[in-house]
Amino acid sequence: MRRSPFALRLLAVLPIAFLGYFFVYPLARISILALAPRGAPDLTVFIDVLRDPDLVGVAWFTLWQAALSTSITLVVGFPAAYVFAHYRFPGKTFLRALMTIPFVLPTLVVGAAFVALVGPGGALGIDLQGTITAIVVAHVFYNVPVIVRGVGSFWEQLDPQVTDAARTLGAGPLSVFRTVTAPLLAPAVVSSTALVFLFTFTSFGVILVLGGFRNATIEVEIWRQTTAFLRLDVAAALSLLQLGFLTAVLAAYNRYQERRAVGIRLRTGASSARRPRSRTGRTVAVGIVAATSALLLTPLAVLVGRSFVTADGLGIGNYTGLGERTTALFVPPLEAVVNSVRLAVAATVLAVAVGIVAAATIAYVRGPLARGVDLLLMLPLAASAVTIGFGLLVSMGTPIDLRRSLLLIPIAHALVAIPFVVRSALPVLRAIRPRLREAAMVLGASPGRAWWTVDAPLAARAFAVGTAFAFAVSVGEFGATAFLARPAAPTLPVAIFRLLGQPGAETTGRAMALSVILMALTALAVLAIEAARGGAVEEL
Amino acid sequence: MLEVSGIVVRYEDTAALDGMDLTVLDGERAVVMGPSGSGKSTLLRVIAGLEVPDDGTVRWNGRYLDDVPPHRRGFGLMFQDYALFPHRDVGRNVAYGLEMQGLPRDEIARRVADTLDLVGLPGAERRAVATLSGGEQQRVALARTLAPGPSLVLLDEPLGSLDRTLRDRLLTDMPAIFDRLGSTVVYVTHDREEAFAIGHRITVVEGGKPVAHGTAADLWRRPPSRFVASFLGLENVFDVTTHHDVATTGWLAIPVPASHPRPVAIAIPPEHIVIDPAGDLEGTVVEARFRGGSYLVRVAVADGADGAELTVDTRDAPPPGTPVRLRIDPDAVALLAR
Repeated sequence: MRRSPFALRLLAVLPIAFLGYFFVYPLARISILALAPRGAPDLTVFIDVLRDPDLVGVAWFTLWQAALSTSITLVVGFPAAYVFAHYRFPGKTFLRALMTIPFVLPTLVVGAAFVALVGPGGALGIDLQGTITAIVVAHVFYNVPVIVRGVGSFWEQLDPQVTDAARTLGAGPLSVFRTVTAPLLAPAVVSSTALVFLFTFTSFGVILVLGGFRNATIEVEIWRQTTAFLRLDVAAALSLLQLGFLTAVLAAYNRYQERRAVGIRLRTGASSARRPRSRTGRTVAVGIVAATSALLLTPLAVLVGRSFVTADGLGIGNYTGLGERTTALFVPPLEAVVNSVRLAVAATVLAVAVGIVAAATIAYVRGPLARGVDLLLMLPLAASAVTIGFGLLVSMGTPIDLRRSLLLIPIAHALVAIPFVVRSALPVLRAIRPRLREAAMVLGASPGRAWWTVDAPLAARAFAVGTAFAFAVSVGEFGATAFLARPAAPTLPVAIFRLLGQPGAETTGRAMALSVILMALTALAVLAIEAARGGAVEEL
Repeated sequence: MLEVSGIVVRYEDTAALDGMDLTVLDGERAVVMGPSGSGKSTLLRVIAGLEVPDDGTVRWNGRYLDDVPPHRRGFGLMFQDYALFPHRDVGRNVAYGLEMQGLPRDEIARRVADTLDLVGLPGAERRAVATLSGGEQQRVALARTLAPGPSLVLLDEPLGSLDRTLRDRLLTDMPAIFDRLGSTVVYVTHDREEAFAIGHRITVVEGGKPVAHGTAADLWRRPPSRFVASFLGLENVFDVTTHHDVATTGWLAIPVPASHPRPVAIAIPPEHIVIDPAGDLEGTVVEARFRGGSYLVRVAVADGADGAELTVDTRDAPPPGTPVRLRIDPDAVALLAR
């Protein structure tokens, strides 16, 4: 194989340097903290952690709540995925857009919404705060769209002739599902389920708000050990253990996908979805659509409603009061809005710059270099946001002291957002035929000019999608920010968390109002994403 | 015997089938032929039970099939793009229908091997579907359809996406296979050559209903309408005016029986026009195209012809510009409904 030109290979420097210094180096520092706290290899902290019944309890709880949440999410999401894949119904476009929201809805907004729904004095009249029920219901709400979109869109594209063929060969409806649909659907189901498991296993904000004092995941425990007990060595050991477990899960998942990979031909273009024909079919479809819409809309509607409940009846007091100082924050809550938007803009610029260069590297450079960058970029997905925040906290003092830098939070957010930018841009960059670029060069454009005048405009929509994703991720990011935000400069999620932690109807009301503002900001980003997506990715 | 009558299938506002009738005798190969969008594929889906018609009935050996689901009909349907199961290898694709019949393993293995032999792919059991060429996929799909021993074989443009050499070979292979199995077949295509090679009888459909029916030779010699004539690719089709049971083009006059529906069109097979110095029609050669064995020569008709051109099938081609005289065999002129 021909090697790529040197200038092209130089592109890889930016993503490698960025991830190297801000992700790999902090991980190394965490490892040293856990395995060699005093400079020499020393496993006592590690062994103490594994022997501590409280910490083993935390790990056990993390595992089973994730397994339970994932199973229920799958059971709830699967029928909706079926209806989405097979039927057309009024409001489908709206519901599909609604399904995007939980992907980018900040965890703290979810937490606040479920406090408003099932917290003390909540809309349902039962106080479930601090129970596993509240946690699991919130997780199901948050993750059902992952199943519906992941499984549903794949199901919709499965060639219906393949199941028709099975029917004409003598397979009844159940046999068709068992022998054809299920095996073909399995990779999509497994990958969506793995994603949900990953999300719920590393759940942080939702548990912190709804879990009370008793229910802590490993993520919450890392944060507690760091901020409350100042046991950085224990937190580091926990981070490493979790990272090891998640890497093992991802590796197993990768092996499964490689083994299962079959050349499934998907239909492109017109969907065969149509209105249900039989009366029972219609009733069932309507029921599933109604239940799914209710699950997705109720918490958000209740949150908005609660933000208008004040001590003297319904009003906008919770919003007008955002300019006043409260005991929970050192600054008026409104400043958190300004902080968050500023930080998000900076984080978006960083994430888009690094992400697009990285995507270009993967798309155009041949060989192991591109594969290495690809793998490196996906690592932050395996590590949790909490690990990223904790790692930056313990590593950015040396060699350059960045702990006071205003860029520290944007850097953390960019690490979380870069995979989204890359995943948006990469398929389009790959789909653009090299012929077009070659035509431009034959007509006198330099390679850089050719890219800028041909590829960039064709991929502009995908870049816009990545940009909006990066903004939404940053503005709602909590896991890493919790370690890095200074008390005098809280971000929106941090402010919501502090306000929810204080008793009193007034602070709760303010928290709800801030959550609605944060929700509106992410909803704007979602609208931008949907608008930029417009048509599907085509072969260009 | 298959009897399809009065089938109507509507999608939204358009009707894919609009009163479709078809009768197929046992052991017969019926070809359904029509342009794309004429409802041919939908017809096969209705017969297989995959599509519920809005009106009309399907009977098999006298029994109505309305309430029989596809998996109980015992028919085989071969799809246009084959629809092979991507998660099963060749052998397990062919075995699928036999597994559904609950046959013992060794018998399944034996019949899979036999069927793969039959379609010319012996020993291909362990191959992955993704590694097959287009022609091999076609054979596997055919084997999968035939293995369970369907009482009726339905084929939807089975040679559509294959290259010419492969198509020609399969056009001789497939009728031989069907003859050996004694299969009753409904074969859907838009291609004249395939239709003539496969079909004992041919039904031409347009707009979701049958517009012509007969053997290949009948349809070629006496196409019932102008649509059928041009769809079959007949040359020399002209509209004519009739006066008192005589049709005239200005350069040709032929009698029309009073019973023939008006207005009238005619078709003159190119092989029934002869270049002959004694002929009574004058013209000039415009172009000659060699097509292996003979030439197709276009001749501009000289007088009173409004620029009419005739295509003539001849062994020797005079160069363009040569004046010629033509003789038309009046018995070979086909009268068509317009």
